[in-house]
Amino acid sequence: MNVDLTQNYFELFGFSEKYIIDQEQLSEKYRSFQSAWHPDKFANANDQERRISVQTTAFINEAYATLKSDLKRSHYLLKLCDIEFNADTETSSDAAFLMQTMELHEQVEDASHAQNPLKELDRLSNELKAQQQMLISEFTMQFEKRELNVAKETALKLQFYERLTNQVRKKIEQFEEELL
Amino acid sequence: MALLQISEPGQSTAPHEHKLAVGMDLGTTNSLVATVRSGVADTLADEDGVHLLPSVVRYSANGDVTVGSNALSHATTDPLNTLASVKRLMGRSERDLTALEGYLPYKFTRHESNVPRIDTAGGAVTAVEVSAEILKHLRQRAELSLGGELVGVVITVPAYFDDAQRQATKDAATLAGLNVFRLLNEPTAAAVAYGLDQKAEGVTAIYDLGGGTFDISILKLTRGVFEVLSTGGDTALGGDDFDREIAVWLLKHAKVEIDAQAGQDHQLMRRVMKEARRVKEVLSTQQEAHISVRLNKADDFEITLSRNQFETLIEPHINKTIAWCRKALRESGVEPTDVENVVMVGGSTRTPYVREKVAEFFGKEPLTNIDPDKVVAVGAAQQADKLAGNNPDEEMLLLDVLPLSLGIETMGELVEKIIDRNTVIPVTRAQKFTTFKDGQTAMRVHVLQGEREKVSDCRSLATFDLTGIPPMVAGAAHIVVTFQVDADGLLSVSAEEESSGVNASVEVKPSYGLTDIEIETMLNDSFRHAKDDMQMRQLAEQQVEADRVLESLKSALAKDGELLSEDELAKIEQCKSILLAARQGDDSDAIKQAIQDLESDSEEFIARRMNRSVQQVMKGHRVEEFE
Repeated sequence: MNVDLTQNYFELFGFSEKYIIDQEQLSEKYRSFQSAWHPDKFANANDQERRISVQTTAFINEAYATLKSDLKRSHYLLKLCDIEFNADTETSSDAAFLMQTMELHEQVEDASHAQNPLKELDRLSNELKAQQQMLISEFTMQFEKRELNVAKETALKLQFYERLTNQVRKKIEQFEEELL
Repeated sequence: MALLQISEPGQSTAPHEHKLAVGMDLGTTNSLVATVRSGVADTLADEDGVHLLPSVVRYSANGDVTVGSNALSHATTDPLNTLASVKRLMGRSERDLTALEGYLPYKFTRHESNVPRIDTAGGAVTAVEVSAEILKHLRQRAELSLGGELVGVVITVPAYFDDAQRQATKDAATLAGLNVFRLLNEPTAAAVAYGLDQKAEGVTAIYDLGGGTFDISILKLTRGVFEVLSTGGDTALGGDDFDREIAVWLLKHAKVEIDAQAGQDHQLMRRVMKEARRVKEVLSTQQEAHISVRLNKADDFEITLSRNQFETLIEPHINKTIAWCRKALRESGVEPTDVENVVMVGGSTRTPYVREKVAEFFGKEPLTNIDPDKVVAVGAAQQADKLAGNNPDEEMLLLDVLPLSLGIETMGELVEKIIDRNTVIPVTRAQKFTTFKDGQTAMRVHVLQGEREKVSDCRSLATFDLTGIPPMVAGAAHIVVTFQVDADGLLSVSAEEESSGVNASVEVKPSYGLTDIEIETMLNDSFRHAKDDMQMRQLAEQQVEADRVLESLKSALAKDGELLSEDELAKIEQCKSILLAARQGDDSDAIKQAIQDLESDSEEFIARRMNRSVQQVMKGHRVEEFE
């Protein structure tokens, strides 16, 4: 269960640098890393060993969280291929997609003012999930073919969907709160 | 601190020696200490056979400090010097106090450090110091009944405790001379007590109704990760409300006008409340309770309260707790039927009607076979026992998550999240900052904790001044600030300027909580040693430490020396000779510095040794065995 903090996350978990990874293997490996390195295992060790254990588990946790999330994994893979971008500020430049995002925002607004907002928002939320799944398949293919710049566009689209899904979820929670 | 001494992970250095470790439940009303003996976890009693220690501390003018029921008996005669419920003050600032007024009728004094101090006959004290007295008392009780010194403790904290509150709890433990293995969330401890951490997966609800507080936590276990999905509760709802309902009912039937404002008959009210409490307890097992209480000089007032009547009285309060449960479930996206286990915590869950309503809401019988007052301490004791290495064969892995998001202040008084809540800890995250003025050499970072967007809605944790940034044009300096949260949920921060490699010095000014210097002063005060004694002792301590470090380095090099390159070895040897020289002198600071230098230069070596030792433990085992 050697951990070399200079390895990339794929190397750490013994994966080749592909988008689709074996989630089962990821969780198993993660748990055996944790079993070996968690600070609880070093409760009786000295300060320095405890510090190293904290650093190592923090690295393992970060690697696991990155590989587990479809969105984070896509960004990380691109970064490994030297495709740098700032996911917080950059958006997709695809004109058709931009139109679509505006429409989706409107749909969220409409749903919030519908007769039965909860039902509409739930429906929208499911639709967004389906869209995300499609983008994930697109990204997998594009990355496979090394169409990195196209893949980057797809990753940015995924980012948009994730944010919108969160917004919808927040709205749903608000409505539910009012029902109480 | 022993340098380079490596014990095999999960195993104690001396496998057959049982190490004394305890779990401590530092509660708002009562505190407990528990330990595992012959494989069974149970709480420890005092000389009189009492397990619960009232979380009350009394400070007298002559410097005496009393803890527990001895202090509690003075609560009414000496209220200003008898401090109760200080848990509500942990990690709180002066500003937070207004919200707590009414609960805590104490006199506060202002202090520059922002930490509220309570004025007592024995001097001004902080909540940390008061809690330390309680912990010290528990420690003495444990060491007395176990007959030895404790190697470490697990202390429980509410799941919603933020960094400042956790830090304050840990500070109190330091002050009480305890080695904290881990701060454990109270609901997680309760789940551990029922062995729910041994299961593969599932959602657990922890319903905690104490005397004055109510908490509901929804936990999810996925492959050994205990995740707090949501928490909720009311800090002014509990079994005391049940007593009050009975008292009001009684006085109404006796046709006694209550005028609490005038407080005209304090003695009468105390008698009535005491009787109400007794009646409540009787009704936990009986269908009706006979009440007899002296309301005036002439005769006793007698009446019977049935369980049904009692249930009608307390129903509104229980309904409130159920509403909180519903809210907590919704926030975690879980249906009541998804909840596999409901664990009851807190003395007030003994009331059958509470259990009934909870069972009805979740659609299953709650777990009640462990004493609800003790369940948190029992779980903490089990975890402490594992962490002490008393069960090397038992696989343990209890991962926790960050309870509240961590962020920094950005333009417009908004908070930018850096680490989201529910991220598995430990976690490290780096954030880049840049200068916005030419030649800027310093910047200030404001760290906050909470889920809201505005700075004013979150809890301010600390302000960092990054100084020593090399002067450059605006935007050219890249300062990487690294936030690290350890397994206890405590934050530390470091910073570095990327292009020059200059370490910007980080000055932490805790907004709440105590500074390290304050803690150190308190510790030093508590030693009450003459200055010379202190110096002598420090020197002796450092010499012993130096010898131990040198000794373990020798054996580490003998065993794993080949892990080092010639250069690395030479560097370590050099540090070693500096330490040897310092060891001969009488400057304790110089020895300390030399030890630190040796430690930092051998850091990489230790990491490699740990890797090797972890690998050796794993050798010959399949990965699944460690699942």
